[in-house]
Amino acid sequence: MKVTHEDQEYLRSLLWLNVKYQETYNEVYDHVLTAIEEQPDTNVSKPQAFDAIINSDFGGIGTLAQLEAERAKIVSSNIRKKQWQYQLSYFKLPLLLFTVLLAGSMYYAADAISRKTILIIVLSVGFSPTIIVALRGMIRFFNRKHQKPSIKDKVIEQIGCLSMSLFNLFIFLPPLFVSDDNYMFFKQAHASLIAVTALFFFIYSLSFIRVYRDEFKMQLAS
Amino acid sequence: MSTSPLLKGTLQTIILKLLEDNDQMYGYEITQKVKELTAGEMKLTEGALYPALHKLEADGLLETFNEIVDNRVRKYYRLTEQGGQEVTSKLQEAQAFIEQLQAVLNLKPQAL
Repeated sequence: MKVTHEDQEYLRSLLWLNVKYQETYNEVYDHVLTAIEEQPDTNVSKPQAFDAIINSDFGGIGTLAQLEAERAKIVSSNIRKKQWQYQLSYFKLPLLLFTVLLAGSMYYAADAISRKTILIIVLSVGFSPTIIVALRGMIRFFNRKHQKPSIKDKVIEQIGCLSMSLFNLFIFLPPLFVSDDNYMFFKQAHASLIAVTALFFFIYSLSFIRVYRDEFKMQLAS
Repeated sequence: MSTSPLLKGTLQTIILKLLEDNDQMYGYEITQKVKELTAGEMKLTEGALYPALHKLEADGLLETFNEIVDNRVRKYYRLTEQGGQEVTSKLQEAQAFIEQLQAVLNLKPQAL
């Protein structure tokens, strides 16, 4: 069957309304068009032919959501597992040396330099995944307005924003609910607690960057 | 056979073997190849095929790349090095299973 520009437009609109992620959109769109192009010409209208293919091959337009959910689950679990492995690698040789050195430096710095400086360092490190995610989101928004988000983007966004949420939850938010200066984590906490907190955000952010590079095939400037 | 439950257990093996023989394929092409090889007896539904492809990709056995064909994005799948090694063991597994089934069910190969 020959597919016209209007037919393609119809299929694009149909999928745009019923599909959440770009990966599914591309795959189903190509599948349906390829299938229809290989069919002999009949009197059946193109919208009917599209529906017939989607029904017979995918089990109906409603089933696409299930297909996407399954895919998102696989991708999410895969990316999170990878990040967890990267985090663990900081507690195994050779990266363990880096971790010990970093913890020692933060412990020493907690007493040697002002706590405000430490707060700024940890804040910058802790928020870096969120900033990376936000920048990618902005670039995506301006460059590809007519694209749906990818599953990878969604998962990476969730992981990136978690760092900021944890920072807010344990460091920024509590003082709002405590009167006076009774809770000022970075001013009052023992140096060891500061070192552990800093270490957590460093390792979380570094493992995030490694996952980000893997998933989006990015190379950091050497 | 159509989309028999028997097919589900061997779907990954079928995909890996097809990709070993054909280097790179896209989803629709895989379904058509299976149909062609079995003279239309075996039909893979996309509802089963795509989740299996995505699982194999997540497990690192397949990798994907996109190509623009007729102004649309086509996603191709191909074996990774790990996937290439997995084909042999999956085929041996399938072979052993078929032999066991033949022994248990007393099946005799059909004469041509």
